[in-house]
Amino acid sequence: MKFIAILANTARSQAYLQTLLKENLKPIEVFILDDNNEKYLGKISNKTEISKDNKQSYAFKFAVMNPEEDLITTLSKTDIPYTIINTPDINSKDVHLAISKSDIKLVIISVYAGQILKSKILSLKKKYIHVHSGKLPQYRGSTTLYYSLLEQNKVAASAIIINEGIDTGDIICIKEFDFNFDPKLIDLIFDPLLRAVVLIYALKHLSKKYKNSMLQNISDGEDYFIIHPLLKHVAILKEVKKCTSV
Amino acid sequence: MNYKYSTINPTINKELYMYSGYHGVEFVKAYKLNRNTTIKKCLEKLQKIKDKEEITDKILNFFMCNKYKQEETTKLFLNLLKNKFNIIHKDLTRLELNKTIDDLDYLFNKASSNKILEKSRIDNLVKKFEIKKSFTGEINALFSNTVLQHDIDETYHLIFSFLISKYFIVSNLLKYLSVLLKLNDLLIYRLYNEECINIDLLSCSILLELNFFYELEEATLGN
Repeated sequence: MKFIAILANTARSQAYLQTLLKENLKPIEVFILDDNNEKYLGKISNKTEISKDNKQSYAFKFAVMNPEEDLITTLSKTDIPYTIINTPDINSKDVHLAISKSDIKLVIISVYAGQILKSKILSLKKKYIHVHSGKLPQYRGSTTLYYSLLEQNKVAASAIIINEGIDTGDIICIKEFDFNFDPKLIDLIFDPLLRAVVLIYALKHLSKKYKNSMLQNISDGEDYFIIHPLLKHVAILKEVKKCTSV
Repeated sequence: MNYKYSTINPTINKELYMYSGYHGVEFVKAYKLNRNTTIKKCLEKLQKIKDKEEITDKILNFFMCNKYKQEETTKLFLNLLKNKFNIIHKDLTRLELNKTIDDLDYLFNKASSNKILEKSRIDNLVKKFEIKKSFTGEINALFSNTVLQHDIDETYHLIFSFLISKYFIVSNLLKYLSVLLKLNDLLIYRLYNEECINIDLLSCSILLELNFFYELEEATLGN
């Protein structure tokens, strides 16, 4: 199965790329959205709890992530061609131009926080795969992993084909798991690994001869906005308490 | 540690809540301190207003003795809001120009008579608040009097606080508590950095939020 990947310089993209290669699923080409280090959200920096100096690799199921290894380093170990696009904006002219030149229809997307694909890039008649860290359609929107932990004691991710709505595209697959990870590492380690696991499931599903995707009914489920830090703390502390009481 | 979320203006800093850091139980303590200190400040301000003596006593009573009496706090909040609602609607028929204000008015009238609130309307208001942080932005230009404009904006935020609280009680969905926390962060920011006209209503809004949080804390963390 042939696919390309558009990756922002984020922890999620690192987990995607490293896991794809581990699973021997190589993109035909990778496009890196270069932000010139202007963006800081979703990145592992020296300020975050998981310092790059930590030299530790993480795993969840079959997904792997070495936070120290950036996208270029990973790609340099392979023969995968890659292009650095000098903009963080997925909807920019440069990205549009680069993607429109590729005849590959399947595109893995991992963009910077807060970005959505607008109609122009969507009109390129490609299938853009996004992995949302929540069970769809019940948990649409932002930080649903925390809401799901608080309300269901479970975590889930759903792979979808992006459309113009927010997390309303056709569902390729959904996987739900019990949470068993360091709760303090959810944002920058666990969430990327969880999505990487489901990305692999989605690609394997799409490579099958008889594949089907599930239409979402937009009136089903809930839309979530960024969780308040206090509730995020309750979710993490609840898991910390579970770990310490075992 | 400091609770920073009511010290930064969320209408300017759109990324305020994104990828928020983890600071352990110290953060929860800092949050409680922030809310309790704010209620105390409100009470101090109320005590200086003569005709607010009765309200001050009631809020003080709730604050000191009835932290967990959600129903009583809701009743007080509703009664204070009804008075305020009638005052701002006496002269301001122009408010009907705004659909969001219409929705807030409609839902507040329903809530006042204890009727069921429509989820779709509540969710539209949540979306509006999460994106714009203001309900009256489109009609602000109608008012030359900035104090009046500020009062209306604040009152509708407080009406929204009441509606969200009512809806959270019914639905028990934490996404509504999350909105209430952000809303009170904004109102507290304004109390310390700009202006707060309806201190009695703000106290009720925070008291209710604290009630919800203590319940959640007990249910999830057992504290």
